[in-house]
Order: sequence, then structure tokens, then C-alpha cells
Amino acid sequence: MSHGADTTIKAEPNLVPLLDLVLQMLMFFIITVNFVSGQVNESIKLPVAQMAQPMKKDITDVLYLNINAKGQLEVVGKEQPLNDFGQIKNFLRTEYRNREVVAGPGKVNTSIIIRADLNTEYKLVYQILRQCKEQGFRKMQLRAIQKAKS
Amino acid sequence: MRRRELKAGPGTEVDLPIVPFLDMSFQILFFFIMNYHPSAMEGQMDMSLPAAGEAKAQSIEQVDPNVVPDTEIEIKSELTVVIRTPHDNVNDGAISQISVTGDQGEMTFSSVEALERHLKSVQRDLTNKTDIKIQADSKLKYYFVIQIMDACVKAGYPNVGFAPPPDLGSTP
Repeated sequence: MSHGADTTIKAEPNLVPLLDLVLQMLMFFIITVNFVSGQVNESIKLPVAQMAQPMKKDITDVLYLNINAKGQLEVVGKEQPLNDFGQIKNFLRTEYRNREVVAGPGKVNTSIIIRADLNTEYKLVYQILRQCKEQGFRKMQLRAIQKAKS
Repeated sequence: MRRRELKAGPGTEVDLPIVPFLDMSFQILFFFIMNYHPSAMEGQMDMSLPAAGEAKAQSIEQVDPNVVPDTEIEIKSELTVVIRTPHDNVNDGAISQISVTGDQGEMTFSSVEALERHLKSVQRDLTNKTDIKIQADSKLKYYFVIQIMDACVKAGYPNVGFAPPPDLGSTP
């Protein structure tokens, strides 16, 4: 059996369902994408808490303080973590003064977000919290991993 | 105005080029798959601080040596959860004792769950039903501090404050 010259069969795969699928997957990844923020240190293992609340998205003026397992404070803009408590104190003082220049005296509304490793000693966390307050910061949060309530 | 009539004839076939569109979608999809790092859900635990007062006196005349400085992160509460840690170089940082001090004296608990049950049961007799304070040893690991804080919030005390560690020197 032979085909005539004028009866060519055009085999075209239907790409539209494939495109639909790809676009749906793309949409999923676009929505769930979570680029690693420069201020958040992913190597810090946070403790788990059932009562941890979902993060508020409306807080924009924040200062992240990442405390690693060695008890060092890791901050943005400094290559080496701050080991000495004097350095930490100076850093917080400078941060508060810089923010005061922008916001005005006594009007600093920065939220301090403490991301401490679960092996950090209480003493260091307490001292940093106290130092934050001493410098003038008023809003503080502790970060933890949300655990499903049983 | 007369409407133009369409003549029946060889119609124009519109071919939407889907292949380049698909190529581009695949590239973007690949980028997102490569950057997809599902991480554990991070949540926040608000800290309770004493009311913000004037941080510094405006002039020398305003300085009152009898006024307690507004730099403490303690809150006024009727109950204090005291957590102790051993200093034996083996279990350093773990909980060795949990107790609650208040007007009714001191009570010791064997577990965090027992503490939570006690805090729930005594809450109705308190005047200040929302505030509680945690006082832990210097060496206690942060993991346990959050565990106790979590238990306090679960027991119905949303305002949790921190007291200085009893073994901390007078100068931080």
C-alpha cells in the first residue's frame, strides 16, 4: 500500500497540556520560593516550641542577632563573629545610635530578633537581651521552630 | 454603512508558537527547583518587657538615685520558675531541678509537664494571671529555656520575662 504525494501526514504532538502542567509547577515554586535572607543564618539550629507564633509580615524594621553554638554573635556586615561581650555591647550601641539618627531621638522602633542556637547558654542570651534594653531597644522576639500541637 | 461580508475561502491558520514558550518555562522551572530549599517553619515568641520608660534622664536634675533603672528585662510577677543545671562537667546545660517560687513558698517538679499542670492549677488564685518569670542557671542550654517558656505560655501565661541567672556576676 502506498501513499500518494498529496497525502502527507503531519505528526504534531499536542504541547498545550504539557505547557499547562509546567506552568502549574512553576506557579507552585514561585509561591513557595524562600530565598535565604542575608540576615538569617541557616546553620543555627533553633529550639522547638509548640507555642511559637507565625511570623508577622508587617514588621519591617528589624535587627537580627544570630547566636551560634559557640556563643558568638553573627551579624550582617561583619565577616568575623563577635566573641567578646565588649564587642557585642559596642555593636548594639552603634546600631542604636545609627537608627536614632534616622528615626529621631527616642523614636527607634526596631524589633530585635534573637535567633540563638539551642546549645547556647542562657547567660549569653540573657546578657544580650539586657544589653539591648540598656541601649534603648524596646521590642524583642525569640525565634523557634514551630512544632505541631499534639 | 454596510457590513462587510466575509467570503468563504481559504482561512488564515493561526499557529501559536508554543515550543519557545515551553522552553522558557522549563528554564524558569529548573531555576526554581534548584533554589527550592524547604526549611522548617520558623515562628516567633514575643518577649515581655517592663513598660518602656525614659531610658536616660534629660538633665542632671532629673537623675534620681533611688529609682530602679529601666534596663532590667525582668517583669513583676507573682510566680518565678527556677531552673537549675548540674555543674558536674557531664550533664552541664541540662535541667537538674525545676521549681516554682511564689507567695506559697517553693515547689519542686520532676518534669516540664508537671510544671505546666501546676501552673495551670494555681493560676486562678493569682492576682497577676498573665505574667511569669523564668530564672535559670547561667549554663542552662537555651533549648531548655525555650521548653520552659513554651510550657508557661501553654499553661496560660502569655507574658514571660527573664530574671538574671543567680550565678551571674554582678557585672555582666
